Amino acid sequence: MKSDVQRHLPLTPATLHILLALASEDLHGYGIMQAVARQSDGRYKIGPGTLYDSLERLTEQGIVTELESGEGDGNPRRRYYRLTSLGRSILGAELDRLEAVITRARVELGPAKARR
Amino acid sequence: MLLRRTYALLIRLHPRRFRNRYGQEMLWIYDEAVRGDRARLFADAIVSVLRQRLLRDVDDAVSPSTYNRTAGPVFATIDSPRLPLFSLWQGGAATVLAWFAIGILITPGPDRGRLEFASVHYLIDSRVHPPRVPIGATGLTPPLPPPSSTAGIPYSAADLNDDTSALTIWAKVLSVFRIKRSNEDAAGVNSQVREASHRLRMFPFTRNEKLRSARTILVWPALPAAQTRTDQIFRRLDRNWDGRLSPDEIESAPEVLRSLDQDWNGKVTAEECGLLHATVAAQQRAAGAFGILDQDGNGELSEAETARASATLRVFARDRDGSIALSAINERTRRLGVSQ
Repeated sequence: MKSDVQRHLPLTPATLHILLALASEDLHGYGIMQAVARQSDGRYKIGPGTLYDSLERLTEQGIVTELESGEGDGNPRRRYYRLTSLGRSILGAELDRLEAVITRARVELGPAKARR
Repeated sequence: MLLRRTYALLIRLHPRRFRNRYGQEMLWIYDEAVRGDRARLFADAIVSVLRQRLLRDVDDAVSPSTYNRTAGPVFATIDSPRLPLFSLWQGGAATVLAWFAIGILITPGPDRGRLEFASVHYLIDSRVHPPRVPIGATGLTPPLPPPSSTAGIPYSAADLNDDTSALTIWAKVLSVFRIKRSNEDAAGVNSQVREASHRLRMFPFTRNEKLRSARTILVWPALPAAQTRTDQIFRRLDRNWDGRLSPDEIESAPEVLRSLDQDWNGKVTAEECGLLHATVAAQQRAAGAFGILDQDGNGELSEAETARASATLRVFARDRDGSIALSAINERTRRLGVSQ
């Protein structure tokens, strides 16, 4: 399981934001786009082409699952997506990795800042 | 609405696998997006098309049906038919060819109809079809046939409407295109169409010679100007088309020139003589037989100039029999240094 997770790391920015958006609730495509924009205070916006390309890949890899058409809000034009347990593990691992990177960066940059 | 259609077209450019799965949602997002965001959506769609076409696996195969054939009748699902682009090209080419074929196969008949093109009416009327003369051995400069409508009277503006054969009409169309390229001036167009109409008499044909004539007409626009252009006045005066003005033809010059006076004002202008349009008329007036006859150089032959045309021309009659060769006229033109 752990090797499965590590195989997907590091995540691309688009994938990371999509997984973050789906971490709290099931969302349709447009909802994911809006959530991504909210997460980055509007600095990072993802387009439908990029979004669905990522979702297709994530669905094939079992990171995200597409809900059946009755499980959403009933609108046939909207498909809802949910993070799988594998997806949650990958997201957790990616956040740990990023945290480690940030910690390491602070250690490396601390003395440099002091020298300046 | 147009933008939405354009966006839908961009979605349609995606591989079938992708657009079937996400196309509706992408369009829905476009509908939901605020107006300011739509430019970004277009950019994203273009990038997405390229990504899907170039980087992703384009699997447009129709997925096999999961229908249980043993449970009941079988219905095949046919994908929405799309006309391939190649078929559209084929159809267009076939239409053009058919159009030309119809034009070639039209047989002249009495008052078959009128074609209007570039403000010129072409009356399809076989009663005034020009006589058929075999194409000369060289194929380029055959002798001109005598005028068709009234024997002995040179071509006039009425000749514009006297033809007849579909191929000639097509050639006229070609000539109009050629004129359009060189000069947009309407008067010039009319004048050049008249010129083209006369030129075409150089390529008469019989029904059995259609292919040869078609070839000639197709080649004709590419011929050097010097090969197709002749001295308009000389051609009218040379009534037996032998390339020389005999004493009789010189004698009848005033009568011929008067017949060119289409507006009956007693003056024969350069345009009435079929010289090219106004922008080059000044050069042309000085050249050829017109330049000889137009002694005051004002671009028209007055009644007095017309009356003494025979005497004026006789100055150039250096041959023993009193005739004037076209070369003598051309020699004068060359000396003047004007291009005809």
